[in-house]
Amino acid sequence: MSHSRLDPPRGVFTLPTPCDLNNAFWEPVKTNDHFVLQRTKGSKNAILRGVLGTIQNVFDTKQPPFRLLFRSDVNTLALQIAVSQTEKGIEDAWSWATDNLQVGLGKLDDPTERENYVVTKINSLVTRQDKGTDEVSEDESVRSASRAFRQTFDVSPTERLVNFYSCAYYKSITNQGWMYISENYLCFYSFLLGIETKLLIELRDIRDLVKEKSKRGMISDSIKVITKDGQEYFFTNLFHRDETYDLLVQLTSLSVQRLLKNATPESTPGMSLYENNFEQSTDSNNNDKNKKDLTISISKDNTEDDVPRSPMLPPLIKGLEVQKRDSEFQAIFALPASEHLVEECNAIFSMPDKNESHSGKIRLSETYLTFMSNDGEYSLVLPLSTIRRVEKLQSRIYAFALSVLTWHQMKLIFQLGGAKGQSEQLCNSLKINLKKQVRYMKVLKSFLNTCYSEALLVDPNKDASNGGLGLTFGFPPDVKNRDKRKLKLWTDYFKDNGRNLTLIKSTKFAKLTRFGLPNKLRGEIWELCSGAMYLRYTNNGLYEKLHEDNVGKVSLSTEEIEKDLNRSLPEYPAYQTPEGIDTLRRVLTAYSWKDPELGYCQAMNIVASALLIYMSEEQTFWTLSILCDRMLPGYYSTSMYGAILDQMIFEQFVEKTMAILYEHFKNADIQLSVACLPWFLTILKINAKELLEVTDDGAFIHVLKSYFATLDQPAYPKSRELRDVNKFTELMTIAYRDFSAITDEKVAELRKTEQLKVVHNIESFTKRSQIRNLKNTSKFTKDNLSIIYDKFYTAQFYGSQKSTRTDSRMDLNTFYQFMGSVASWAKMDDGELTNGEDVRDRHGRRIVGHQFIIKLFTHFDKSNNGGISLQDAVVGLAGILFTDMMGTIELFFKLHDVDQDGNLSKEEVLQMGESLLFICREREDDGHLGSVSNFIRRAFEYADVKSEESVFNSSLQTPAAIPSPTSAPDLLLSLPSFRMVVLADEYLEHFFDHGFASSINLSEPVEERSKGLSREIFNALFAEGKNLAEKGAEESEELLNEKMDGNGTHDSNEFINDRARDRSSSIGDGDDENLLDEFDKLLNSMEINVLVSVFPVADLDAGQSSNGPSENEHDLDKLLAGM
Amino acid sequence: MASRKKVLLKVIILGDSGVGKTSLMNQYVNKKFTNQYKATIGADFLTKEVMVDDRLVTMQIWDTAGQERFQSLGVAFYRGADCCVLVYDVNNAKSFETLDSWRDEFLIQASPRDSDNFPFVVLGNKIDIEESRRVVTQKRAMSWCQSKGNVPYFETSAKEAINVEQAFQTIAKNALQQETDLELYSDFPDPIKIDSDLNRYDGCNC
Repeated sequence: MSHSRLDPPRGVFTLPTPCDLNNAFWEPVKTNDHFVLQRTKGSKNAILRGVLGTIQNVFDTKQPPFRLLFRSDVNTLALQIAVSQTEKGIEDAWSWATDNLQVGLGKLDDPTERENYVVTKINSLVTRQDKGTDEVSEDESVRSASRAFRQTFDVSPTERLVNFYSCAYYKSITNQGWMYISENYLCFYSFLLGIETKLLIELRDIRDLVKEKSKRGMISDSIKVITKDGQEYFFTNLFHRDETYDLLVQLTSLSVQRLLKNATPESTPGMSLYENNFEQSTDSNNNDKNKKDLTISISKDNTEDDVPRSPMLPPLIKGLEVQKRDSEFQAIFALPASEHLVEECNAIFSMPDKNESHSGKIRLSETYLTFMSNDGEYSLVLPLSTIRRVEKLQSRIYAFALSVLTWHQMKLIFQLGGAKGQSEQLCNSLKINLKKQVRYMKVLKSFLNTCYSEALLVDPNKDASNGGLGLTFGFPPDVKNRDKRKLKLWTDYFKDNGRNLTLIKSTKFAKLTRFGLPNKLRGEIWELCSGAMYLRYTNNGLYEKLHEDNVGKVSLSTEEIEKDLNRSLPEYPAYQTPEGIDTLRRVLTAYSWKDPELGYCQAMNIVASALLIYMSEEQTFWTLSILCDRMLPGYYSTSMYGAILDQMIFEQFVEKTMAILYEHFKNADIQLSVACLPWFLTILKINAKELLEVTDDGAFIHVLKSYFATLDQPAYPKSRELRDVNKFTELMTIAYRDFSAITDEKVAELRKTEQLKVVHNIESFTKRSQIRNLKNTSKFTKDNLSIIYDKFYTAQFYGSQKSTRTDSRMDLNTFYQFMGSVASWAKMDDGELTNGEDVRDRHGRRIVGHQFIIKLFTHFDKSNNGGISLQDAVVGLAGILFTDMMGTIELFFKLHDVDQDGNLSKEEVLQMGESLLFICREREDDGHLGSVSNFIRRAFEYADVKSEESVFNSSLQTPAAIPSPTSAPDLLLSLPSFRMVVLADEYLEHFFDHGFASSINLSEPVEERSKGLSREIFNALFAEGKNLAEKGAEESEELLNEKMDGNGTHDSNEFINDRARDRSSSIGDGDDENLLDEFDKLLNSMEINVLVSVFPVADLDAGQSSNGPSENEHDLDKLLAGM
Repeated sequence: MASRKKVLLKVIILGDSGVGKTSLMNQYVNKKFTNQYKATIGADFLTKEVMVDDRLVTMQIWDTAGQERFQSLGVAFYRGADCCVLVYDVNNAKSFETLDSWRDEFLIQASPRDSDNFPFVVLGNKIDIEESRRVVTQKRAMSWCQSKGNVPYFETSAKEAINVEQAFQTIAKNALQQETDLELYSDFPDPIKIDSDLNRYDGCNC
């Protein structure tokens, strides 16, 4: 065993998990000062095997028969550090642990330090080993954790676990357990000393996430989570704190995005008004990056064809990492969201006729090859279709180099510095992707004709064939017209560094840009830098198609656009002519068709009208898209959350960079938000002196406005040297000099975390506005409406990932969830319900009559377009709640009169029966069974067409066993007869009078947060125990004895005291009384005390009386023993 | 009682996009009309000194964006308003129907001390456009105003300067009244709320 000193045995060590040291199910094999080796007693004891089996089944963790524990002196808890199926395996672990850890442990005096030492060692060991293991075994651990997660928490079966971490939840004391992070939830679970702690936080409710230091020490291993209702949750002992934090930020931000998408005050303003089908042209959908960005598009290949998600999918965490990496890549190079990072490799870039080289990274996506130097100052983006030739060259330094010849005849050399395999792989992928792009080379030539840079190099005096209104109507005058000189500089730059699609950006490019763009080139450079050019290139012809597809259509947005066309840039001559107005209209309407959810927002008109001076319609359209989708995400959305978000970030920057000014604003109660939409940091700085004298919002704006009015005037009129510097130049200089630390990345990062805070405010506004805009609120109070709204949008929120609808209406599957949240009879466990399919309950029994909900859906869907709006839901629920008995009877009649002939046929009567059984299926008494069967019998009796006696007789027995309708002649039951039949039965009379209406619950959530898992375990345990008890009391006796041996003989009070003492170290307080108080609080505050739920069973079956939750464990023992 | 110090009256103009808020404000303050205004983004304001009841007051008139989504921006400047002007276009029924939500939202965001008696003024604008295109009758508008606690109502034309001066006189007057009421409140150093439930929660916990 000498080698084990270096090589720990594989596959036996686990992440340190707390467990009970003295446990009736385990017996020690050997022990030393720090470690205990145990094996299950299962092999010897039949009862225990059974009981253990149950627990294992429920938890779905096949506990191997051997385990190695670290004995912590801090409490009676031990940490499980290894498990094994074989004695040999656990022996190896034992040897390794004693050989390698014992010495270190001996040197540490403090028990907490000892624990930390072991935990750190084992953690690093397990993590290291995990990295080496293959996909399959890793998958398996995720799979089993995912099953445990789903069983513990009442989440939708389609909810996917992203990752799980060992951690502790701190709430007056520390509970060590597991944190589960899934797509929509943050969960915590621990089960210690018979007390279960269960926590489920909806990610969308999180308002803030804060990295914290642990409560006791100074270790940065904690995260504080604050929810929208102000609750704080403290998680500590996180070994991968930063990873956990990043993951939470990423996931909450995704769910917040979805929330924002759901919370739109007006539903899809850009949608055509006079159409009943809500399909948009497929092309516009394909290009709607916005939508794609919002969904977790990890399993693209999978969700497409709606295959039910299985736990066999690759771990979600991987997908999220890829997604994050891709979006960073897209952001750096302003690439479309359809691009994914395929390969990357270190490389040195040079050009044969130039004397410089840059080391950096070469990256390849589906359609682009990019390079960026390490300092970020030198970059290029090449669409693969602009590459004429690629050659492999010998490299002096590295394995080999690539020589790339671009469309504009420039030769670029990349020395590939990756490992041999990496470079090869890049070459291969490049080859494959290049082939796929060949067809785009045809488009390239005509595309380049639309770029002025091409014409400029041929003949500098020639005008652009394709450009903005400025070419015809003139450009706004520049103070000093240096256009000629600028054009010359740019021409030279293009000659050396390529142009438009093949342009290389160097520091000189940045300088030239800051110096000022020549009017004729302005549009092209804007388009290129924003990335709009790539969109226009890849989506060739889409702009025209949008117009063709939507010709003559009218929407709320087009109406709003019409109002603003003459209010955009009225002073510019083009907008005083029909030609200019037409151009503006076309760009704005095209955008509203492309993104109907955003539609049109005021201010887009002003931006577009300014862009149009320098750009063609199509260029403007794509630049506007980039602006709305990427540069200013959410600014123009119906909730304008992006603008609110940036206001908040802006205020933070002011606080950090100009503390005095910030303080002044705060004291004078001046809202920066009043002005910060158009005005920014530098301007505040320049005007700081005046602003410090300002004491109200109005004066604040006044200072800024007068500054703006004088932007073109000299900044230092009295100084001779600086006479040339106007205020605008000064503004630019200060912006770059003093605020260089504020970068796009910084803003993007802040947007992610800050958005959690704004979303809930927006939501409350949206809610008010939506409720106000309801045309019909029936007799509902504001509170009722608020609850309906919440339930409606909660269902929508969780349904929207799967929903097929693009508008805010609810589809059938989501409707099931919605109804489940307002009426307990509509609640079903299975999340994946589809039209007419079998639905089974928790125990696998088929649920009959759930088609009733489909009928309700059709009934609620007043406009008959397969979706339910909030208004529909309100009216529908009102129809159930605010009607008398006659009304309810009529409602049921209508619902079941599928063919609407005013009569119920035999089949329809049977369906009615099924519906009634369905709705009443959870009633305690069985009264409804008889009544429903009577109903069917009477219905057949009083129906208009008579039928053979035999049919009635058989239906009398069991309503479920009714002969098929084809065997008997059809019946016709009219509404009056139906009424009579119903009223003949007291039970049904009650049901229709108030029973049905009162089944709709609008006061509090019907949904229970936690599934009765604990109850299930103990019910199972109980049943198991009872069985065994019947087999032989002897064995039970033995169990009791063993249990007593293990735990000692405590009475219940001592038990509590012991527990309190055990906790003392973790509370860090020696005062005994305090401890007891703490502990009482703890008991009261536990989310669920498992054993409480056992008592009803105990009371009924064994006649045991309950003495309060603290003694539960003992009661259970007694129970088991007594049987 | 009211102090003689210089008074600043804050007036907020609300209403749907394109009903003529900016034009009304400019007609009143600058006595001119042009159809070359840009759509208002966010908010803007103008000030004007006027005599009301022999007192010189400064009116700070805030013009706002009409598109509904701009309301979610958090309208910080609503706070401390002395009067709210609701504008609709008599030729556009929808702009009249949304007055309710403009009023509600204002009361929520501005949360004035006494929301039942907060001064509103309603203006039906664009009456210069030919009568045949008018869709909201005077009667309908007046009955709405009556239902909201006798809100003063004017029919105006910013283009032809009809009733603009009169309307803003009333606005100024009501705003001043509101401002004076507020001063009355603040004249008491420590307001004692006898009838309010708040007292119960005001107790100090230390």
